[in-house]
Amino acid sequence: MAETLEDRLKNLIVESLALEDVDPAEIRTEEALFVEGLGLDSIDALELALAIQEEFGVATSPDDERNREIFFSVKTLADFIRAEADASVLE
Amino acid sequence: MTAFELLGDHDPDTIVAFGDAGTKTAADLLSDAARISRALPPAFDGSQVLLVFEKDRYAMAAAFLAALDRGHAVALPPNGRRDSVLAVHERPETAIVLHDTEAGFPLRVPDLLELDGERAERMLRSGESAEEPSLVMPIVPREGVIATVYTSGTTGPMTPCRKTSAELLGEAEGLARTFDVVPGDRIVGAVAPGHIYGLLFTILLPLMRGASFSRETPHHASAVAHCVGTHRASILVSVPVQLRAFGALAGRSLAQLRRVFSSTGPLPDSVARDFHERHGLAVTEIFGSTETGGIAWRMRFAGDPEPWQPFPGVQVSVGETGRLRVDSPFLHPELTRPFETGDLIEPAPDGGFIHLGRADGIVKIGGRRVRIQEVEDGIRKCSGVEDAAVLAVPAPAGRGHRLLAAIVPVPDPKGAAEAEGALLSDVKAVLLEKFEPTCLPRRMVCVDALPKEANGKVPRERLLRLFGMGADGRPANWRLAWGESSRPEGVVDGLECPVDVPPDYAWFEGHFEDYPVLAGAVQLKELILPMVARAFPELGRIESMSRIKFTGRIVPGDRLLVRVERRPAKRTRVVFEIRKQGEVCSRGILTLAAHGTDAVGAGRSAPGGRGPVRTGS
Repeated sequence: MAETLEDRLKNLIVESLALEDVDPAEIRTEEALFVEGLGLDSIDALELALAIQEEFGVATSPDDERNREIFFSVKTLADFIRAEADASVLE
Repeated sequence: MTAFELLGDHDPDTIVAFGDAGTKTAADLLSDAARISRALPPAFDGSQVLLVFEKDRYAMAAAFLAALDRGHAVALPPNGRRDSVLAVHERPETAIVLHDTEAGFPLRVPDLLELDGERAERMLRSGESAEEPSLVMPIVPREGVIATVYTSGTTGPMTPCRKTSAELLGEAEGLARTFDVVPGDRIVGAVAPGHIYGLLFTILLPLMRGASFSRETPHHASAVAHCVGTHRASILVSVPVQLRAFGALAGRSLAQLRRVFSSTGPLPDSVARDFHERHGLAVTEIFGSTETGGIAWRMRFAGDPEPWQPFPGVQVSVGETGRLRVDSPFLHPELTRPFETGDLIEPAPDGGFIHLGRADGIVKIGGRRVRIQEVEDGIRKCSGVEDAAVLAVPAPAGRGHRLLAAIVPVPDPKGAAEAEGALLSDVKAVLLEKFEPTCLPRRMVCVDALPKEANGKVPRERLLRLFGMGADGRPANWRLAWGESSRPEGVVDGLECPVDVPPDYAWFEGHFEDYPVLAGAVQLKELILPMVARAFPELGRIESMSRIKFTGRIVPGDRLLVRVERRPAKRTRVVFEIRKQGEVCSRGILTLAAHGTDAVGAGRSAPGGRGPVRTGS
């Protein structure tokens, strides 16, 4: 079975943030990534933005309110990347 | 001069604040400050107005001037967490809170100033703000406390740190001179103005010098670039984690900037270098603390960092225990002088110094001071926890450090692994009530007992082993134990260094199951090239190899002596030799590029961690 964008994001989160104790499969797609759910913090948000830029070639929004929505969960991130990224990086 | 004149370099129509929320002039600021001032209760001895601003730096500047106009000092909480704000709010000297949050406190500045539409309409309907207030003149005497900054890296008792106007405004004036901030400079504050660094650099500095500041505080790289570009900013006030994230921006997208400030934690070399290459700007790094104010600064170009240079008027020296001692006009009059900080330093030529780390169990995580003991105590207090130990290890990027926690659960007769998982999430929830998410341990493990010694102490190395790490915080079995290198007798141009090969060294894996052997390629990459890089840093990648012989076998637990040397006539030709108990087990000749950065592993010892150490200086 092909790896979904959501799975790729979960792996990217675990790898780029060095979350040694987290199994990517444990991250729930709709769960909040920051503070409550996975417990990521504002530094992780910047790190994750950097990793997503490198992997998918999409930059964060110039509007931080919008970034808060984009970075809410794996699902919101995936929706954003599908809308913004070139088709070639999503294959 | 007996007083400071804020806004002295501004005409009434000079812009003081810009942003997506609109532009504000000096006249706007003065009349808004006057309006807030009228809403404030009268001052009493030592009274303060608590400022909590999350959105609009302009509203905070107006609130600051209003509090001073009314004879109050301002109070800044240690962070924006509700319990921290409430703790300062409850103090008897706090007269009122001015804010722009949704927390429901009475004096919400955007309402007072009609800064947002819907609420303003409501205010107008209730007819509260009919009268036009007169201007205030923000002339501030040098004496007297104008601000109390509460510090608390994590939790526990908050410590008030009082600042007179001579300290705060004097420092802002000094910064403007040192960094040549001029009227017309436009400063984007990418750090919260409620932090002392933010207050000084993004509000007081521009107000002292006829410059202007951004109303918003952008966080993500694109948001910062948008703010800089849209509003033609000349100066950016940032922090290391954010500067690292600028690696995702297109080159020159910050090209209008003429200066970038970084403070609150060390700027990693790689971030400084990348930023310089990508954006063509050397970062101006500031070293200081809430207690002492600014101490020193330096420019970060692509190369190794220069020593810190003290600000004009600041004297630094080294205390008996190697700690930094500071005497400066920005120290509070009640502090003992010179004031000794928790930083370990080494003096450098020209009056500068090199920062070696902290001496007091405090680490910086993402710019926030964290007292490890407080996190440990926080875990111990959780129900179901019998004992705990917390330690900090260096973390990549701009994070600085991360915490690891080993937890001994109260013995559970059922003893289920499930219970451990539940305990760890309980501990996390309890910690989150008191600590910033950044300060939480990144890894927590349950153990039956802490590895204590007879004296009750838990040695750091044994704790690290619980997390599978060696003394440098890397996985132990990826790391060779290098000794100190020295010049062998009779050798003109060369070095040798003892190395211990750990019994579980990762590179023994993957060859023969019952016959551990360190492959030749691994010897070259992990032993020879790091040694070449140390002895002859000017040499680059391998161009050719000759007469290479691996005659002996290197096995787990071996102690080796690695030697590299060259002859004056052929400076790119390196002869290497690895000895074990006096016997040569590997030797050969490498020819390397004279100048190269594209080395095949040269200069790096990854995944081996720390390379050979040079003795002396």
